[in-house]
Amino acid sequence: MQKKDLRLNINPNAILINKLASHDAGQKNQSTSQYRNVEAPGQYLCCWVLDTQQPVQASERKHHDRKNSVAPGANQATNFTHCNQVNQTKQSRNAAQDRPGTNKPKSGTSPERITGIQVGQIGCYQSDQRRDREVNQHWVKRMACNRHSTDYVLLAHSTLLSILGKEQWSRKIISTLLLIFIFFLTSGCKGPQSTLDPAGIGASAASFLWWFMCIFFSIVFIGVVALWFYAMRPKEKTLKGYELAKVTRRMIIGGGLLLPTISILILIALGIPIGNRMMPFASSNDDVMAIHVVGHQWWWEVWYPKERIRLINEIHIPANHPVDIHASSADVIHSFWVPRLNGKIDMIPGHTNILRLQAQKTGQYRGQCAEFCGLWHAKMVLDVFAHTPETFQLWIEENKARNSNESL
Amino acid sequence: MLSIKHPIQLVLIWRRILFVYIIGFIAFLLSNPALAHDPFSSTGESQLPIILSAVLIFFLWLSYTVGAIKVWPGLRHWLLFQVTSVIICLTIFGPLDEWAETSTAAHMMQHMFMMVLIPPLWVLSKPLPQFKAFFGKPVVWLSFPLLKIVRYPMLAAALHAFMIWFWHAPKLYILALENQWWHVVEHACFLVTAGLFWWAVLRSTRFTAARAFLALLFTLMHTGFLGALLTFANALLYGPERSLQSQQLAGLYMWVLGGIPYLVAAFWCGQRWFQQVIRRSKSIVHE
Amino acid sequence: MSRSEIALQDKHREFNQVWGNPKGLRALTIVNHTTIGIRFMVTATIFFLIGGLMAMLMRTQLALPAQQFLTPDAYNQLFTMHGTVMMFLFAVPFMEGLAIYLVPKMIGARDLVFPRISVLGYFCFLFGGLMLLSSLLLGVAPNTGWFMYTPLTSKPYSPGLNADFWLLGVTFVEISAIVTGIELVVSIARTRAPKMALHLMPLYCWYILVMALMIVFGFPPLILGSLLLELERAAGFPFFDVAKGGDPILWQHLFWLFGHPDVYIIFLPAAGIVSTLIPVFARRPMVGYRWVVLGIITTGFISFGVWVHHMFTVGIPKLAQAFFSVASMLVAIPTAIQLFAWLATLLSGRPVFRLPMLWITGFLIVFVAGGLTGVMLAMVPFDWQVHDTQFVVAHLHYVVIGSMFFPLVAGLYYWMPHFTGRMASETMGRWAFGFTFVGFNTTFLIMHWTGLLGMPRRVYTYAPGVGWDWPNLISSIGSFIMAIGIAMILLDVLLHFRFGRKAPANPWGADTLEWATSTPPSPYNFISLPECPTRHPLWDYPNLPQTITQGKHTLAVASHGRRETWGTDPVTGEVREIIHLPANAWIPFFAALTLAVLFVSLLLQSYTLSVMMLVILSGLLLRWSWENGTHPNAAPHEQTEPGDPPLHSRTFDGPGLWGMAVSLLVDASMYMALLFGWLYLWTVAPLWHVPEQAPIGWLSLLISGLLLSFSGIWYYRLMKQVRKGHVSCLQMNLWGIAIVAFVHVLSLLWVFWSSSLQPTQIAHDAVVFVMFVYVLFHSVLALIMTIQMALRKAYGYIGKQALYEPIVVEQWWLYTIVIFWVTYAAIILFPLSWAGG
Repeated sequence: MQKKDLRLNINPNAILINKLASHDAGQKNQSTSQYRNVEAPGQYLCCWVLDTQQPVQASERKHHDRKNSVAPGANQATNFTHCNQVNQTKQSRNAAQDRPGTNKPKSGTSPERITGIQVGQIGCYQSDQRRDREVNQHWVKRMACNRHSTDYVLLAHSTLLSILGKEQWSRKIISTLLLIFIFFLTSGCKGPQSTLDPAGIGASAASFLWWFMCIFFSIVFIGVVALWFYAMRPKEKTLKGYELAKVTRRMIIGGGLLLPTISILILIALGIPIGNRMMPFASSNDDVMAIHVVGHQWWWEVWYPKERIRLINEIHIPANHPVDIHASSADVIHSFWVPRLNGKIDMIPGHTNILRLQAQKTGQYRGQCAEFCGLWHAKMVLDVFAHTPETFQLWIEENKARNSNESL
Repeated sequence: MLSIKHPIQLVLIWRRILFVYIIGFIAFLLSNPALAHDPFSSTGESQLPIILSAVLIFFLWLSYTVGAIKVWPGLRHWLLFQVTSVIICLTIFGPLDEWAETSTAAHMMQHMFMMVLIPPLWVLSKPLPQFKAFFGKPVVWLSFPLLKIVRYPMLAAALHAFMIWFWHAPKLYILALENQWWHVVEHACFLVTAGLFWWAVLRSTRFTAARAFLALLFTLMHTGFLGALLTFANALLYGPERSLQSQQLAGLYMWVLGGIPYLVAAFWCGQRWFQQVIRRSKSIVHE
Repeated sequence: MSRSEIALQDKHREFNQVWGNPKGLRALTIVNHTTIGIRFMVTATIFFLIGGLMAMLMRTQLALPAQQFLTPDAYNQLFTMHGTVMMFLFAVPFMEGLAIYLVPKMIGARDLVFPRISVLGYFCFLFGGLMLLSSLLLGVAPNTGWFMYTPLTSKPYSPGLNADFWLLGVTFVEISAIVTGIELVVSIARTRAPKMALHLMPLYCWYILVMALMIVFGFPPLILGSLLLELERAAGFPFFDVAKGGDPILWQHLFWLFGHPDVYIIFLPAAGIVSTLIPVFARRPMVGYRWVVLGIITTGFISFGVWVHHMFTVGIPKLAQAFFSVASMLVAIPTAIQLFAWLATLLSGRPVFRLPMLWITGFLIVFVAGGLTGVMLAMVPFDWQVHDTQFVVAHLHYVVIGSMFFPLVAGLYYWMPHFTGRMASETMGRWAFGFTFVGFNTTFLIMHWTGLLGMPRRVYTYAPGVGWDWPNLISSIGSFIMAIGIAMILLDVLLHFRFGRKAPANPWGADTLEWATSTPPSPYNFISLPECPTRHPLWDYPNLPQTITQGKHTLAVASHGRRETWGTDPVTGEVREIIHLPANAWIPFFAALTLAVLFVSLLLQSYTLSVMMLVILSGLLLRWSWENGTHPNAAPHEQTEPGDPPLHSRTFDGPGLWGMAVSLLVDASMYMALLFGWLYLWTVAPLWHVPEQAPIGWLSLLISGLLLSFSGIWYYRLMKQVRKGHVSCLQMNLWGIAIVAFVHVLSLLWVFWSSSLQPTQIAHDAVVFVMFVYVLFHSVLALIMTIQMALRKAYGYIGKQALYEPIVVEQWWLYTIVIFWVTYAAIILFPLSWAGG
């Protein structure tokens, strides 16, 4: 544990020192582990002020914020709605006090309650949560990537130095490329938003497709480059006559026509079934849950039409069950994207697009707006929580009940 | 290569088959009760227009075949014409026509056959001498104004474009679907203008080659344009009984599949034009 | 011996008097393509450095998570401007500049065919670029991404001037691109050396021909889109507003209809450089010339049919996605043909590994990688994941830098001795390559990974702990290494003026005609114009440079004071006439200046000033077109050397005919885009609605159209007479036509006046309005040109011997008639046939 702490302290602090100059004095007394302080709170403030245009009643908001203060939600590491909370480990703190006068809308849900339910039920989710909490406390990224990052820096440094120092740089380029490649392989593909850490049917298919194409095209690439260097070797005489015709035919017919045609055919044969799998077709069981998501500058409005539940910046879905996201927009074009579950779909004013999500396991999945939508595009984040059917049912019941209470 | 210099045996066999066909066809016509229907006011139940068009096509085929006996076109051309005839029959009387009633895509396929498959094949089979042999002088007089159009590829392309867009306007398209008579007229318009267009293009002379090339590009562009519109349209253009998906597919047929023959022809035409010009300039140099 | 040398010197002096470039302020009047080309390239390079600086700032911001180095607004401005500057102010203009410089020399001509247009093009580019960049200094630079998606760019969401700067500035710059495109097409078609048939043309010219044609067809949709969006922003025409019957996706179609071909517009000339250099360094002719030409043309065609692959996440019908996916991959085939033709050339030749080849090797590695990720992106399911992520950023930089920047530097080193007469340093070039290549790959290779880890593009920062920290830091470090490399190239270029050794003649042993000029070249390129019946003139006729300078070939006289070059057959290259080119002039500069003020006044919405500028501009353009043909300033007298063909203005076959035809292609492309918008909105816009009563009376418009057709057909028949040489009543007829056309314009205005159009209320009326203005513009211009022809007849510039100009106008008349009736069908007849809903 000690070792781990040490490692964790290296990166953020090193970065933090660089940034101290821009630190407000008033913020220094806060824990050094709170790396997010580097962000200007004013920017968020501005963001929240803009958010007040949301059609959520203030009383409702307060109500939920109070509920919110029970325990740190599992979503805090990634959901930027919590970023400005000064200390998320303090349980007694009321979130609303951190943002005086901003009326941050909080949705009609309370993730901590779900956590409570799930503690006894889902082992997998628990572990996820624990990991997230670690992340919260130390403000570093996932372990998997971190494990190799320091090694890599050393490698990169030595490579760069040697490049600068020696004349035979071409060999060094190749070794650098190799090192980068090794880095790719050794560092995990994990990440809360990684397309290569799929947890949904669509994302798995896309991930498979990526690995296939990556290997296939790497071979093509190496082949072509090798051929180039072979062709560039010094030669005695120019080819003529029959030999020239042979080379020409081989190159242009074989390389120019056949190679791309065959590659394309292979890809099509592979891609079309995968594309079909990712599409929201009417499946055999018509038991697809519909959730409407409306993009706003710069937040997500989530609406369960059947259950009559309204959420903001988070979606709860049952795992292993197809869900159709009906995506639209209230202002500019956004794009709905939860990389670990499926590809993205644009949210366009006046149009409704449908995207099918099907989480293969329970957990929390980070999503982010993928179409540039203005000033705070970078901060338009949402979280998807996939629950077991039972938990999800409980969640529905609870929110339904509260919704009806509130409407009364 | 396959070539029969004196296809007397073939001709003898064909005569016999022909005879049987003609008798059978006339018997079929006479036995059909649909003749009593009033044309143009009926709502599509009538078989008469179909029969009439069948008669017309059969007559054309017959005149060619008989003409071919008098003036043998060579096996390749002869076969090409026969294949084209079979495709025409399949297009107009085959299952495609039935599907076209409800599916925009099938209907588009039918149109594509009439615009980019049958006419160029027909032009390539060079059937005029045979028709001439059958009909004698009248056919020359009749076809004279048409032959004049063929000398202006852009005019032929414009005529063809007008017909394509005219019959793809929603109301007219539906009219053709609901009334068999108009349907036949529509198809005739497509076939005739496409025939002229392809004739002008594929048999361009060295004076018209450059314009033929332009005419092809123009046709490629505007059919692609129409296809793109059909592909993206969210509205059901041709009545609510056809699905949007079928309409989109129809657009893609026109855009992509329809584009290929034009593109290939454009390359062929460009190459031919280029070589004609080069050959000519070389011959001038040698003189 | 010495007498002939003296005679030769006299001849050069004579040519310099006619072709020479003035100094001082009058340098603004220079129309010479060598000067203009270099100006284009230098200006574009400066813009490139500014764009690169922006990239550095962005990489600094993204180096660490949650940085505060830049505010989000500053970042948004930077990435928008970075894309805009690199695409519109660097890549396209640089390639055009190089083409302007090289093409006439390669095809053995003395200048481009419309030299004054080159000047206009350059100053439009310069002023437009300055206008765009000034927004950055004022802090109101466009901040909505270089593809400006509506409705983010509509007034409610972008109230400031930011988007206006982009729309107007880019339109201004595009004028430059388009006029240059037209000029290049006509020059390549009509001014090649005698006997240089199409199949003997250097491959570079094929690439430029296809690129220029792609500009002709590809840029107008964006100009139209920009105009529509600017109309929406300035006047409230709701083309893209869903609530009033518009559709924001229409903008995306118009943008990518341009945007995708634009990638190939950048790639093709660079591939042209590669195809020029590889045979030289492989010391053998290019293998598979015909295959390569076929590949270039096919690339041009396919690139216009695949724009939808930028919109796979928009919710396009799935069948269309599958088709476009396949179509996009098909581009790989013509590209692979070129690639393997290069490989075959190297395999069968005896390659020498000089500095340009090093950069070509870099090009190959980077471009192949970028092309392969491009094929990956064409796979729709994969695109759904990585679309709009850093993966795409990495891919597009691999493609654009790989396919454009590396060959460009290769070309720069290759032609440096031609530009300046001195060789650049090989050692320094190798170092620069090392830094650039390593820096580039460090930056962008890992960026693929960042994208796969889920980082979207266009985010000004990212939260720590999502796994993007290290890849971003590496990218930032790499970008600085690359910056060092680029700085070294610059340094090398600057130092070589001082320290570079004098270049020998034809230093690389090249085969193309541009190396037959002196280095640096004289303004007239060749003192005598050689025949070129071969693809490799300098390999087949090693003495050619000497015989050219000794004036042993054709058109070696300048005592008549005309700038002359050969007008040849577009296919066979047979000589048809002598094209006489205009001399240095102030008008293009002032026209560009007036345009600049016009655009600024539009930006500031001071429309009085705009109208004033428009009047001045029309005056300038009229004057410009007046000094043409047989005008004393253009061609003082018509005597030619015995045995030479006539001057083009005394034939029916000048380059102006071609210029008009290609300009009409631009026009038609724009009109097609407008028509597409109209029909697209009918069939797609979710809240499209049509006013109860048709806003325009069908009968009055019909009558107006008949008047137009009458005058147009009259003109057409008149030209038939003119072609036969019957010119007895030409002036009377022209005035008669002008009167009918005038009545037509009046009737059109009346129809317009009496219509019930509400262009600010519904998209339907807004589009009808634009179509109407478009038709009106063409009618008015037809009228003005007819009057001008009548006046020129009165002044005697058109006469029995010079009947060329009215023929040029004929095409405009026919086009005007066609678009009138197509518009009539679209806005009057089509709604009648509408049955859908």
